[in-house]
Amino acid sequence: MSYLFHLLVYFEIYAIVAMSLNLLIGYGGLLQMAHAAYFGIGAYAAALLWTKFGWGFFPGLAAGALAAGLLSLLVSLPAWRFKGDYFVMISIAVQALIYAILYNWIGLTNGPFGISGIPRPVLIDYNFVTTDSISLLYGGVALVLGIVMALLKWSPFGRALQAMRDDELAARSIGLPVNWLKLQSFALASGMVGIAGGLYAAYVSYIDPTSFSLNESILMLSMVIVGGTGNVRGPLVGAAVLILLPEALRFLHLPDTVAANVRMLAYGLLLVLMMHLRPQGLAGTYRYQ
Amino acid sequence: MTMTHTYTKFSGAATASRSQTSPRIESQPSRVRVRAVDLAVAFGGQQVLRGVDIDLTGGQIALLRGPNGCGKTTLLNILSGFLEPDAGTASLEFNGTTIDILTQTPDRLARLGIARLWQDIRLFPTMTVLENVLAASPHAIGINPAIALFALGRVKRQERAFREQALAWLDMLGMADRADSSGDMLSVGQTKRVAIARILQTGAQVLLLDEPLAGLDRDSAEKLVEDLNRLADATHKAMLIVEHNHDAITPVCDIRLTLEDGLLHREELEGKEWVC
Repeated sequence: MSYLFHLLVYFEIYAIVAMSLNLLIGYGGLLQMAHAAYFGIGAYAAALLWTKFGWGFFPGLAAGALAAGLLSLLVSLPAWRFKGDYFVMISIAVQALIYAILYNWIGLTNGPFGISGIPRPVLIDYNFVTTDSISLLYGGVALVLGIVMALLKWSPFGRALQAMRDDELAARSIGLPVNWLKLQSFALASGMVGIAGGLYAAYVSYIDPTSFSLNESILMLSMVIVGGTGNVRGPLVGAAVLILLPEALRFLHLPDTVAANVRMLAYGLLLVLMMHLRPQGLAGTYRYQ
Repeated sequence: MTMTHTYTKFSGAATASRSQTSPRIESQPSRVRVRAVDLAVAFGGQQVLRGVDIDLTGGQIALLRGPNGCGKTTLLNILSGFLEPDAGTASLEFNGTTIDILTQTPDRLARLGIARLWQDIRLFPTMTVLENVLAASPHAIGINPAIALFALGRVKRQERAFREQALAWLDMLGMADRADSSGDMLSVGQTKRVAIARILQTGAQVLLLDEPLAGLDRDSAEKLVEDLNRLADATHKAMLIVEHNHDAITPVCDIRLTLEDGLLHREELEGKEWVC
């Protein structure tokens, strides 16, 4: 039973990740490849504040979101000028840059040794130690953020993002402040994935830079593409599929040396099949082009 | 068969808003004026515009004509902020304020009152017809995500008014019954009408229309010309229209601008008799 709750916690964390990435890709048409870096900034900022300064759970989480939101300027400002493939290259560069900082700024992040002993969530003197209690707390956070995403999708803000995604030139010519929209959507999505990073750090108790590499960004992107973009349920389906897929592969009892490669093969195969058979994703409404 | 129509310019808001389905049209406090002086643009050594002057006041309709590739769209690109000329000045005067067009971004210019219809239409294909028009609503407070989340009531009230206005424009252009259709499921003529509704929704006082009649059937074209004429008079909008269907548009034009070899010739037109 504890194993199922463990999977549920992971699903909740990655549901937040996928929903936030969907805001950029599905609503705004901005193919962000540095999402794992912002996941890492949230995780590191919160973990450092919890372990070194004794901050409370939610203030640490909020600070992580704020740090990720502010640092999103690294991608949102280039997005004003660079579009399409050029923007993808910029976001990969930002991913590499942030990863290098996490890996090499040993004085702050402890480099490849990571940060250990991250406390589990504590809320009004209640210690969330067991997996089932954490799944309840994280489920609440994911629900609130899911409602936020749904409200944004149906708001004039969501409509403006969709217009920008469909035709940026036309959006500009009817008065939509495209640059400002990009700035806001990156800040919101990065802040949200920063929260997910904090939740991840508090759950696993130990973080190091390898959890926030380009591979992780590709995994996040796969969740959104497989699940589908442009609506709220697509990323949830994608997160569920990509969390459960490696677990399903466990039942094949493959040796450890082979298992990781098989998992990557399965991801690749899944993406190719999706592109051919259902380009809009399992539950999506928008086909990213 | 030869038909003769006589256009009577509507005299104001009261006349224009008689019909219940007509869009809400309000008189403006002062007339807008667009002026450009000595505009020059060259592409790769080829001089496209040389010493072009424009002077257009609210309520006036100007036809901009000329052979393909003569620089008509280039001129619209400059006036809508999408292209910086090599030389010259351009300004927008409204309510006692003068704005330098050449220092503004296209989106800011649209918010200030210069909206543009694209020759290749550019509807948002994944949005419905109504959403396409709603997207152009001016000063939508819900475009700020914080307000969208925390002032739902205010946003909803404003959206209701925008929706009413958008449906009225669509009704005027004969597209109200397709409000829920997807933007990519329309004929060229229908797409054009939705695009026109979209720029009318911006509330802009200066409309730059690049081939608004292309793709429209004869009846729709006639009706659109009539509606544009009515709007120019009732709301004092200034319109600069690039159009190859001269016969359809000339009867409602106050000015005819002919662009040839980079030079712009201006003629003031008299009389509104339309023979076709």
